[in-house]
Amino acid sequence: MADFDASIAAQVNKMMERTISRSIKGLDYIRAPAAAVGLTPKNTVIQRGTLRLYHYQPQSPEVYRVLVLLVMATTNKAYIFDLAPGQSLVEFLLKKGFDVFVLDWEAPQLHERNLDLASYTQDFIPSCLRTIARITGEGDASIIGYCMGGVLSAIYAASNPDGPLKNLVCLTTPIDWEGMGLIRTWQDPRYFDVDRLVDSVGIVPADFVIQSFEMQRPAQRVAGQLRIWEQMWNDEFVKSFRAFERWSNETLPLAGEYVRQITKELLWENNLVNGTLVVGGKAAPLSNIRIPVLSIYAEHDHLAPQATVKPLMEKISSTDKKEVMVKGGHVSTIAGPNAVRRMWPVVESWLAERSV
Amino acid sequence: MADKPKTPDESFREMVTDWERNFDKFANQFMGTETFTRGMNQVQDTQMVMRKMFQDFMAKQLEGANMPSREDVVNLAETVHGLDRRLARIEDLLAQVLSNATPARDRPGPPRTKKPSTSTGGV
Repeated sequence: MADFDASIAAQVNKMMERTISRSIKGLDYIRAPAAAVGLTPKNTVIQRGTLRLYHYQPQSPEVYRVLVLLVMATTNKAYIFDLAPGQSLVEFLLKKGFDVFVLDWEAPQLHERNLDLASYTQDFIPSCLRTIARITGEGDASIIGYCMGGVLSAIYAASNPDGPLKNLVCLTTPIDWEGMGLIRTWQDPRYFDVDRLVDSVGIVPADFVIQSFEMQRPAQRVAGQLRIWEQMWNDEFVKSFRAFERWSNETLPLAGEYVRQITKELLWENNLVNGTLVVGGKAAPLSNIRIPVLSIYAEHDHLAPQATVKPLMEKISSTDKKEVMVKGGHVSTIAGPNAVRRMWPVVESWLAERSV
Repeated sequence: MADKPKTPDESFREMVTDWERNFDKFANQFMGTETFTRGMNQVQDTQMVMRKMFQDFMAKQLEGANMPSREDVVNLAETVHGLDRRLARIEDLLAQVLSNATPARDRPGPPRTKKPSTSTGGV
């Protein structure tokens, strides 16, 4: 009985401490500037319109021969790969001995409204690979593409089978767009006039992109605020939450032609999985991909559900291919405690063996 | 053996997770209907039409005041962007020519000799 009373007293004490802590730290939370992100030292190698290419300073006395290019999704900033020290995929790969480049995006301007899939896959990615080869003197590269970055990388690999790509890692990459759930329903061609949208705005605003993400999980933002209030006493949680919050608020607008093409060719006609996609005059059947491929998908991903990711393995011609499911959602697969424990070591060990 | 009783914080977290899951499920059922899709797109179309009307109106006003419209500025930016792209291509070619003249061993940075450790088992 005495033990029980002591336990109750300890719990009440802890609750009181946390309540006081919440009030004090809650004020700091409101007043604090945006979380610092993307702190790993880097040099900007290309700065052209929406395109940015960063080269991170190696953190290992020797590096693997084959370098790594991370390709970010066009909807978001690439600092999700480098959120904070200890929560950075870039830093992790550097410490493991990889020479790391990141392909990032700035918001496209109105004069870039005509950028399309060919611009991203036949101009930007090859241009980055050429520049990387020039800087490093090494022609072979591995690409790690995240979400739409994975789609663009897969299209590049499929349309350039004789290119310098040695390995391809696709993280939560939608291939079969028939399984895109609510997005497919909302953009039903009977009701959604993509031409009118693109012709009216030129650049599809970030608000539209955020809305289409958030409407799939309408309670997520409120639940997030409740969680942060409850965890306000926990400095690590708050730091991580603020970095993620900043990242999701900095969603990028998209070039109109690119949206038009994705909607018509990927979402409506499903040309990528059907093998009928043509970009910039080049056919891009996935069966052209013969290099080693690793595909990682998340168990609870609502943006790139399993059904959309899994066909990649069936469609490519690679003999060296592997598919891994990790616990978590679309973003927690890439950054955060889940990623550190589950996804990063998988990518590192798979790439290490294929990077000499 | 009985389960350890939950602390108030744990109960709160569980409650939020349950609420989020149930709300999303309910909302997604409604938002997945044809009625919702039609309504949502009608609202969006109306916004687009209004936006276009406003743009046309503004373009006429600017033309009347003998000032460049947004379209004119964008056209100019497109021309500059085209030049920028061509310049980048020329730089790219030039750099390729120059890099061919530099042996890999003369490039700065750590040697590219790393081998995977034998313990990397993967999954």
